Amino acid sequence: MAEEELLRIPIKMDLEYRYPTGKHFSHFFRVLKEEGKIMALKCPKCGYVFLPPRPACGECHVPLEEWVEVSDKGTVKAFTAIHFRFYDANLGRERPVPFGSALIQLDGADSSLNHYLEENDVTKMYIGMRVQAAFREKREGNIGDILYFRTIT
Amino acid sequence: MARRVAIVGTGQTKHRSQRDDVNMMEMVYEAATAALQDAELSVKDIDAVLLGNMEMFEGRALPEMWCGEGAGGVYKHCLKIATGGTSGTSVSISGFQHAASGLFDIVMAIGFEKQSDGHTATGMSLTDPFWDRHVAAGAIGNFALSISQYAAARGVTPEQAAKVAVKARRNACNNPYAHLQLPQLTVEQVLSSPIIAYPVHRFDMCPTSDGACAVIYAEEARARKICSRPAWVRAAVTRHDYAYLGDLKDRLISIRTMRDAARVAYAQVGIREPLKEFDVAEIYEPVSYAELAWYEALGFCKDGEAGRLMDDGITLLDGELPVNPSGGVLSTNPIGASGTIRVAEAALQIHGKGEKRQVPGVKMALVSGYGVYSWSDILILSSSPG
Amino acid sequence: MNPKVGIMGASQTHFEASKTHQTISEMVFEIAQKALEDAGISWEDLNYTITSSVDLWDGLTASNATLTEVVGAVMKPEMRVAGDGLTAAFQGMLTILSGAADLVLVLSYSKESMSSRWGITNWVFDPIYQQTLGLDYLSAAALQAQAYFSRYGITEEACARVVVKNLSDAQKNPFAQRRPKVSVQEVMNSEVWASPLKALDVSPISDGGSAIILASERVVRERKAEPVWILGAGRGLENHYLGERDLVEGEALRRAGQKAYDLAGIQNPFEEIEVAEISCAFSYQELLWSELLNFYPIGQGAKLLEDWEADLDGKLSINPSGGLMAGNPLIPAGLVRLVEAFLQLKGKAQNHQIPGVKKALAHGTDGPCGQGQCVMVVGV
Repeated sequence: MAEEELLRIPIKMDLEYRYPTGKHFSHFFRVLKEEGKIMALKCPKCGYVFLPPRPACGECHVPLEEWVEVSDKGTVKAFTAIHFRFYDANLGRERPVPFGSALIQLDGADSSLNHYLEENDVTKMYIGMRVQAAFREKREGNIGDILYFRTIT
Repeated sequence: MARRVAIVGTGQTKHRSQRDDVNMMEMVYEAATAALQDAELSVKDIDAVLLGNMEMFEGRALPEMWCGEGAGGVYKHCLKIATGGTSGTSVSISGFQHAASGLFDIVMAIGFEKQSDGHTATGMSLTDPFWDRHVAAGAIGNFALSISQYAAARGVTPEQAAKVAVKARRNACNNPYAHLQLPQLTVEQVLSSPIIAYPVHRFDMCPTSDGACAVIYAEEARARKICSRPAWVRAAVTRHDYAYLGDLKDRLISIRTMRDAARVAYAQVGIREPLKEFDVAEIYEPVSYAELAWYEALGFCKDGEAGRLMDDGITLLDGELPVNPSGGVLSTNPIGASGTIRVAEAALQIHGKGEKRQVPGVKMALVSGYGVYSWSDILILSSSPG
Repeated sequence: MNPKVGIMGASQTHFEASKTHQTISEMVFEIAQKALEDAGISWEDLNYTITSSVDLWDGLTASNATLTEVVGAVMKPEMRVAGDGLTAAFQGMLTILSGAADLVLVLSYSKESMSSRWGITNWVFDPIYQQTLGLDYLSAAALQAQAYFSRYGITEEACARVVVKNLSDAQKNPFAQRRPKVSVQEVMNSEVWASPLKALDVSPISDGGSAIILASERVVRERKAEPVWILGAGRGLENHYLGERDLVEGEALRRAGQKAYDLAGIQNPFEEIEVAEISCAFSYQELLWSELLNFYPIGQGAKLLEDWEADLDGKLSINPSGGLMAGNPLIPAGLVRLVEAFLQLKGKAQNHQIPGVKKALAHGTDGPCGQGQCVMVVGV
């Protein structure tokens, strides 16, 4: 007797989400959109400057209210070139490869931001590299307003 | 008074990239049945069933509702733990806490994942929608970033990382449950496999697997009756940390959660020289370079010495401290189960049931769980209750 | 139960249909801070956090990852129970009894406004048989309600009176989602969603959460605190396939309740407990769960409406907070019930305080029409 074929049931997940932006993210994105500035939050107790902003310092447990402007220039703390065709939930499709990605510590911030590098040739990337944000022409108020970070000398 | 607890049985499925012959609930049933057989218990003996799983990979909500009965959870105390990649060790720790509490005598913890049911990369992409989702490239991209710093700071070479990858897949050949068994894998083959995210080659990276793994805990009196050589839980420590990708600029370099969890666990048991005092270690290494970073974080060697430890063969099956004789996560990775598999593999080493992968005379075993960029779990199992 | 675990403090949000002004992490930080303040302990004192939340409700994979810093888990342990908030409290109790911690924050939340409750709950059902039928919590509850009505002659009017009772009591609860009082007629006239359930038979979509602080006996002694003690607890699970369950006489809730009563040494819950806060996302459940918890004989839960209307002293009060009809998201609802029980026992329930509360019961449920059940008995 022939073995029975094993079936699979295809089910598509189609759920819409509305993520609230809240107080801190709203402020960050508004300043980014209207003034082209990058803001971060400073802990009043330990002085750590958080980017992205968030409600509280995890070490001191105090609410974060003090906004500081950080530079659009920064230093690469980690880098890679991705060759894996990763599915992008925002775009709804795979990202074109290879693309450069890095952890960038903007001057004035203590934590780093993960973002794209304009550079996608890994032989031209190194830790300590200086980069600068390239902004979208017409800013919308989301993290994509920074298109990528380009290498500066 | 908190009670002493031991692992008295383990069971797992034969892990594979796609198990079409079972649905997820049936897969859980397989692992549960195997564990019950191993412990020579029946489902009636189990007082609580805990499930661990990253449900977004299968697109589920509350999977314990569907899969709980596969583990004998009906009418029982049954719940699910989910802490990202550490779910497998988290649910194992919860199982230990249930038995140690005095309210449950025999407890089963099952980690499971049926990655082929969903689309793993999509599941990985559902991170924070304001910052990380825009640019993150899942675990692979994240590791690649950390590795660029780690390699620069500690001087490990791609060859040394490749040796880890080779060790894992060759060890897996002794493990009848392992997914990737590659007896002929060489360092050259690893280094010539395509780069998926610099500097990580395809063979440096763990697979995605369908699989489940169950461990059964018993409180002291029952453990001694059930098992001739119980694997006593001597320590179970967890540490979490910030999770935005950029928060931990030197994640693999410092991995402070693992260092602190290990420090506390070692102190609880009186371990001063882990390399000498542990007989086996099952650690959670999603990528080859991570294992080298864990050698340093777990105190097997000083910072900067991990590459040399690998070169010297200290962690091979016949080395001073065999690391991942099961083949590790690099060989088998059903994410919700991967942590539980580490616990099970360490326990069965103490039980003496390792068969071809048995390390002789295991009395003290180290387990680590890792996930969500920097969360760490450490468990210590021993043949003596202490 | 010996040794015991005490609840030293509690907090809850003002529940709202939509908290668009806050991200989840802002909301959670507020809940955590308030609980710590209520318990009089500092973030540094905490040694473990248990959270309860569900990825699909949060629209994130490993959603507790975004909360580490606001739940006090940086370089500390955190464990997530991916389900009912009361079950997370149970886990927190076990964490202390196992010796792993002596001061634990248990926190549960959900923001149902972010997506579709019915769309999400369809994904709880197994993909092989039930999910593709389009089942969700509403249709499953409708099946349960119909089975209950058929077996015991429960009427839609009785269920409408449950809604009237809860929304009337909710007027006195400062945390309740603001909802006007309703009449039986208004409930009966509301739109049929899944027969016999109508719009007003269903708890509203809600955003918010709650938290408690658990302490070991030793910490309670050291701080000379006066906690509410957990006297007993139980959890159970029904079969998943609706057709394999007795939808009416739910064995899981019976057993979970009995386990809690046995540990607490309670023989007659109706006589020995003054307040019961039970999780009823649908009106008929207040009658059914009351029966399965042995407050009333099976089929006679409607008697609780007469008891409420009679407003006698010293009887068992069920859901003086207004329960889920007053607006609680499904995932944290069970923990909110425990918080309400805590407030009653501490005499802090303000306008909805029941006099002379010495023992209370909290109940949580998750999964389709009460598949997962959790019961906790607490007392002073």
